[in-house]
Amino acid sequence: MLFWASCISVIKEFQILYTYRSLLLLASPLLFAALGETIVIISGGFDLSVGVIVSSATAIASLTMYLDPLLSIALVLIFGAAIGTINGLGVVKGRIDSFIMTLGTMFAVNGVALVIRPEPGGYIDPTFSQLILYTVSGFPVTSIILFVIVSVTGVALLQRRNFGRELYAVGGDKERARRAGIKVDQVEFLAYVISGICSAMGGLVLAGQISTGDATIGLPYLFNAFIAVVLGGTLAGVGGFLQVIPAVLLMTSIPSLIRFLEMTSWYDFVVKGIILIAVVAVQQRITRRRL
Amino acid sequence: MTVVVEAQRITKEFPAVRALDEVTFCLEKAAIYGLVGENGAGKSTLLNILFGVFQATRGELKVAGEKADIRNPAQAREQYGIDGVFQSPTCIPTLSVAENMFLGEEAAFHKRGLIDFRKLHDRAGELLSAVGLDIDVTLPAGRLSSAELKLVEFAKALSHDPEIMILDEVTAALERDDIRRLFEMIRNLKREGKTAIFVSHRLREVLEVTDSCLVLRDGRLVGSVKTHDVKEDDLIELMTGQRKGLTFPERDTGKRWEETQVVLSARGLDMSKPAVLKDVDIDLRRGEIVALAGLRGQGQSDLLKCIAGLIPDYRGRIYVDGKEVEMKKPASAIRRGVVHISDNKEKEELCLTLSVLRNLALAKLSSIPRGLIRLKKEIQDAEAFRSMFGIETPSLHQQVLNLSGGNRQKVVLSKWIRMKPRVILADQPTTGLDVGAKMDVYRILRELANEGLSILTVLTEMEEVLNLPDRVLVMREGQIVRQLSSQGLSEDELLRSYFEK
Repeated sequence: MLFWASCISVIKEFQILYTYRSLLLLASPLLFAALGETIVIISGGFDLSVGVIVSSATAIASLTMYLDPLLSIALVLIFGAAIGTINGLGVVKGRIDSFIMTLGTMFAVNGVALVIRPEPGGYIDPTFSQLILYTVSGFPVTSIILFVIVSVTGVALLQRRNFGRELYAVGGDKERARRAGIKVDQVEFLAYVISGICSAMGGLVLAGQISTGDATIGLPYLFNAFIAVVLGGTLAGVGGFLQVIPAVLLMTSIPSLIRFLEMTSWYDFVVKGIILIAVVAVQQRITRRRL
Repeated sequence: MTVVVEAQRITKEFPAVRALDEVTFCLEKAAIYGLVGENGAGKSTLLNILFGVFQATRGELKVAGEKADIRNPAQAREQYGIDGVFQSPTCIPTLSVAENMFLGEEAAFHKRGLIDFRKLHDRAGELLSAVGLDIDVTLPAGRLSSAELKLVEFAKALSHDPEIMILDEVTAALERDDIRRLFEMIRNLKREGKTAIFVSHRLREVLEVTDSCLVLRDGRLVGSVKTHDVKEDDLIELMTGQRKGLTFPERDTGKRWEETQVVLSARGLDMSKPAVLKDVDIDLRRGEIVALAGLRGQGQSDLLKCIAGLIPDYRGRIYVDGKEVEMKKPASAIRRGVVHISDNKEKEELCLTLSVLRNLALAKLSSIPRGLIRLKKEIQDAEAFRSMFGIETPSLHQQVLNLSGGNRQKVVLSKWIRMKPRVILADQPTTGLDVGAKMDVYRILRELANEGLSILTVLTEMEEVLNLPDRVLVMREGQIVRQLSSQGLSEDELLRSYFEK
């Protein structure tokens, strides 16, 4: 039901703003981050490092693209996987609460990003950039393609693959999942690694869009990704990426809406906060009645 | 007679206690074994070793002639053919029934790399009809009743075609029909040459369906007998070490109840959510033990909850000492000396991570003067209850989750009795308790009644209904259909009343 509510509000954006063409473009990096976050949240944890991985991804790309774009991409992805691995190890082996663990990595990675790229800048391969921004008569083709691929993969993985079912099981009741024979530790670990890679990919797309490396640009992504996931009715063991997608679009369109209504940009946060509270309150009432 | 499981001097030690001590036995193919013992005797530990949840500290286990080192449930199932139904539920409430049944095995349903849900649902439906369960498999498991969940788990275990089927306390939540069907299926397993291990506190059931019985006491195997050689009392003697049948405290069958003061009464109690109650009238007198009986789920627990103020949405009137009371919240009931003991004590009564001491204080907290807890007084009271009820715990500061079921129940009873109640509404106070603990609870309840308390209790076991209360109210579909005096009540008559309309 929430899915439709989000859809409707997004469509309203379309009509008001006529900027739908750029909406998908703007939303793509967030979609990647949101996928990673969705996976971790369904498994019962939190990933607070999502935003900084996005910024670090742009930073690393901006520093290494001059060598070879493909190598650069590989490095970024490896970096994302590495942070994810660190998170995973901390949560699974170190038995550290995911909130705390990823908070730690968030600060650490943020620091590292600022060290390697203190000021926005650097070099992003123009061909790469053109590819990401490729537009045909106003329609951001690459973005659309990326958006569709991520959506389909995300939903298919969570709903129709064993791994997805195991994620829900672990999030639903970890002990019982363990008793059912699911390798809970492996599943949780993978969730964090995948999240790291997703965020890294989001960062790559973003780097292509802005043609710079920026160590501070990723922070709002955590915020937006998290709210999008919750708006999509997704918590430990429940929800799904399908519902998160319209929420991602919603989060992306709010700043434009606010500008359109000629409010100051700080209202961006106020609006998002209010939407979050209101929507979750409605969600709770619905689930309470159903169970 | 081929031996399928051979256990040699199995010993399991935990930090504080030796749960199993040199347990040695053989299980043959095509046989049904009963495993009995008091709570804490080691039954669950032994089963967990077979399931692969624990490993034995010492001793050897052989399955089908080969030495077996079972490290996890998946290995137990796949390599050794050991499967079954645990005592505690294993279904994940947020996943659907079908998903739960095939958790970890979805690969069998892959079509082009993705799970084919239609096939999954169909197969789940098939397996469930085989055990007599007809439900929507897409429902989240959290919405099923305990009985339905047990049957789902049984169907799941059956689908793996295990060589050794373990059933740990599965009948507690089931109706007679389900139990009869379950026993038939267990006998089928035997005909197919499999082995079954049936664990239950209900000795009558054990005597009915098993070929042999293994009796555990304090971690040791004290008896391995052929079922047709023993009677219930013999089993109890082995389990408890004392020659005593299940005895109930004496009742005053000649008492003139009409002359006793009515403490609590209700007229026209009616509700539709969360369950149906239709026009219930009830009177509870001083010193009485009244049982609410009947088939499961006919409104007994809901009636208790309603009187206890746990259900604000009801119609009708409740009177305490002749004065009408609005029972819209638990505090209203507690204030007037009406306390409720839930049947789901883990979820609704105890804070498992807190100590015995703190749990005992739970109900009293709101009435402590000036909000300051006096530790010495708390400890004094707790000690008094400990000796009065025989609560077995190494220390009052022990976490309640480390106590056995019987002792937890005693803690719950103590917690409420501290409030000096006048009415106790007890919902299935003896489920999951072993023989010894049950008798303790019966004794306590009768003593309280003799001191003037009124007790309204939901009882599910026939023996209890026949022997404990002074009066029995049989409920069906939310109504009280029969009132039976305990004088001269026969099992036959009682059972017949359950099915009356």
